[in-house]
Amino acid sequence: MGAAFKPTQQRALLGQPWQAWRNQAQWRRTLATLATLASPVLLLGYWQSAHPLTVLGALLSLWLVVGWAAFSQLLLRQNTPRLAHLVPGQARSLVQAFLLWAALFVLALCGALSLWDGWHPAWPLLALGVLVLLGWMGREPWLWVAIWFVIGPLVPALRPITAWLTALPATTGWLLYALAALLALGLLPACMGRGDARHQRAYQRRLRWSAQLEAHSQGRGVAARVQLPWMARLGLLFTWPHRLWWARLVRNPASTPLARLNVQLMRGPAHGTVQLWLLCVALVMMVLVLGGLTRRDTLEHTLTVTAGMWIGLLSLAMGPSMQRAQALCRDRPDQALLVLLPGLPQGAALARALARRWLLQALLAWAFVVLLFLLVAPQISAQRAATAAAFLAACLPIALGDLRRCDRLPARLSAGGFNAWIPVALVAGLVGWWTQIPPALSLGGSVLLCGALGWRRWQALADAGPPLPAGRASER
Amino acid sequence: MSSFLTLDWWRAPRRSATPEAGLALHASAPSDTRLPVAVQGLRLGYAKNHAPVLTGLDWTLQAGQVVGLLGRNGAGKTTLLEALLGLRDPQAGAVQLFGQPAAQIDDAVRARIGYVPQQSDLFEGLNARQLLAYFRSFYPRWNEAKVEGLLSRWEVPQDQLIGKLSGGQQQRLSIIRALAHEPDLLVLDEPVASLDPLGRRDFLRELVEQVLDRGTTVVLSTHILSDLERVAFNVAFLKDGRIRLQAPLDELIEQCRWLQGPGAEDHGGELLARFGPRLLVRAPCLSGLPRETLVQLVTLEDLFEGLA
Repeated sequence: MGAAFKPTQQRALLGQPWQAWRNQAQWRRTLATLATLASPVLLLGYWQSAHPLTVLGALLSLWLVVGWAAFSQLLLRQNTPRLAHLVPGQARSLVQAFLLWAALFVLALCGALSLWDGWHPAWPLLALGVLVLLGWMGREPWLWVAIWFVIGPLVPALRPITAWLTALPATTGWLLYALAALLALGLLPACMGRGDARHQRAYQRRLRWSAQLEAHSQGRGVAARVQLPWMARLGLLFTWPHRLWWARLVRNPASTPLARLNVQLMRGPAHGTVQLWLLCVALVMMVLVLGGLTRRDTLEHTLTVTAGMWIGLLSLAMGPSMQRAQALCRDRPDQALLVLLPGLPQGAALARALARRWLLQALLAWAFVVLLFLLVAPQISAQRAATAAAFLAACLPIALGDLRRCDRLPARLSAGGFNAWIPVALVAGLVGWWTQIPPALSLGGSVLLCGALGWRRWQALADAGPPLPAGRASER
Repeated sequence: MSSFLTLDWWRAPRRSATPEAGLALHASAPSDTRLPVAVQGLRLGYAKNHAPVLTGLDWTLQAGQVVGLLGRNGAGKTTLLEALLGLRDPQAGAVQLFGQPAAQIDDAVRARIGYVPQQSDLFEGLNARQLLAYFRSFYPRWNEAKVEGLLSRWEVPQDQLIGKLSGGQQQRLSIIRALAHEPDLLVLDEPVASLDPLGRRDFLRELVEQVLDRGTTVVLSTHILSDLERVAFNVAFLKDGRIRLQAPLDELIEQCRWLQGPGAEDHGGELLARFGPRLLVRAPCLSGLPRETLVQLVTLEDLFEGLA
């Protein structure tokens, strides 16, 4: 039982994610993700009349990077301290698989980058660096958060760093290159734990962070036992309205059972009070940023650069509707108790009452963002206004998710619904850019279409069964 | 077959167990003379400002011993079992598995250990057959016939995703996985918590077979005392971070008595616990007690109450 490379073990390690992927029939989700990634690249390539090989290179690079993120994550999931410590050879084989596949990915990524922008000696180091970073982001999820704080200052510094590197004498440059490559090669296998105490601590940290991030992405609260203490305190900055509202409902004997049910079901950012607070914070920040700008070109430039601002605002507005189904599926045991609250409407009446409340919240949030857009629209070019309006219009149908039948929710939900919507909204934005559809037309059309679809769904809710616990009428 | 189903095997071997280890139970004594488990001065806590869960614990398990670990909720049973396997780093003390430091065991020792954790760590996206094939590739020894037999007897669905199995079915699969490579040391952390009575009976039967056939050392923590009475030749009580007492169960039940009334204080034995006027005493000198002293036999539940 030496340190030899054992093909049977490698087959088992690689077979595990492959079998899980096949068993869970995730090909639709994979295709949706690939399409999500491909659509902006293909559209941009088409718009810029880029050479097909260039587009192919960019597309392959993107797919390979995302593919490595997913692949390394799947290997890391097998790297639990228990298995690493107690199953003979498992940790060692995982490291071997990790290194072998990293080498293959580096080669493939270098090829794809060369297709995109020609061969450059920096590609191998860049590819290795990206792979190491993604591997460590899988092991230490807090890096996902930290990276956002690094990217901002790093982007303006890229040019001087590149200039400094270019100005270095060749020998020093290669020495630095070799050192960086050695560092990356040392860090790569260190992603995998060996079942010791350090691995145990890292694993616990990872579980806690994953729970935090997952809960956040699903718009629900985190169980106290897995919550990081400082994050709980930080979270209070955002969730205090929910607590206040909860306390108010408990104190007030006249509060409706439906409001009590809703405050329990929709914890965290999915609740209307928290959403309102977050939108207000975003509005204040916008006013502070845009209020200081007087010149039209500066304002337009800022709005272009901060395209992420619109995406962020819409995420705040439509996020609860996208996360609601997942939040409901996660809290089924609680729901079984909550529906017994005296005074709650039952059956279809409860389904409609909840749907009405959630839909109203989503429509108000969407209208809030549209209002902001209408305020700044006169200050930007017609083309950019059309793009933003098309993007906004494409996001309205998300609110219809609040009219779905909770009793028919699938037993397990993935984030596929959210993934599938990204390309639709992006394509809508790009269509708006090219065709310059007037904002009134795109927004008005979306409202009419959603109104018609929403009315049909509302009628269908009249026949709905008891909505909670969610998924009761679905197949297991 | 019929005599097998009457479950006589549950009790018969235990009666003949020697106090030390029960080494006579299995067909051939293990050739390895190194102790499966040796713990010395183990100290472990979760936070610096909290009292440690284990406080200088000493514990030794002989080869072939079957020990039931008992303790109240929060006593540190899971912590002890995890530290014993090297899954937790002690603040002080040393743990050795088959003569190697528990935190640095090699593959040969790994292959000799089976572990059923309290919380399942099975891959939920796989089915039972795929999961077992995964682990088979790592172990030098794998009893396929036993695996097939258990899967069939315990009615574990083989083509259904593990994530969709019930808690009891997952627990059975976890046990099959731990038994498949025929370990010499089996550590079971509340293995029957999710099993129905029939499932528990099947599991205990398998466990006894394993001990009889291979002389496996077993550490088993559970709160179901009736199960422990059926299989555990030794019981260890964990209290205040230490093994308060470890002894063969039969011996304890035969030796211990509840004493109450005049003269009870002059019992002449080892006082294990005191509940108001009632004393739990090991090996009291019954002949020296006044006739008015009330003497009662004890059950495992009484011992748990007094010692855990």
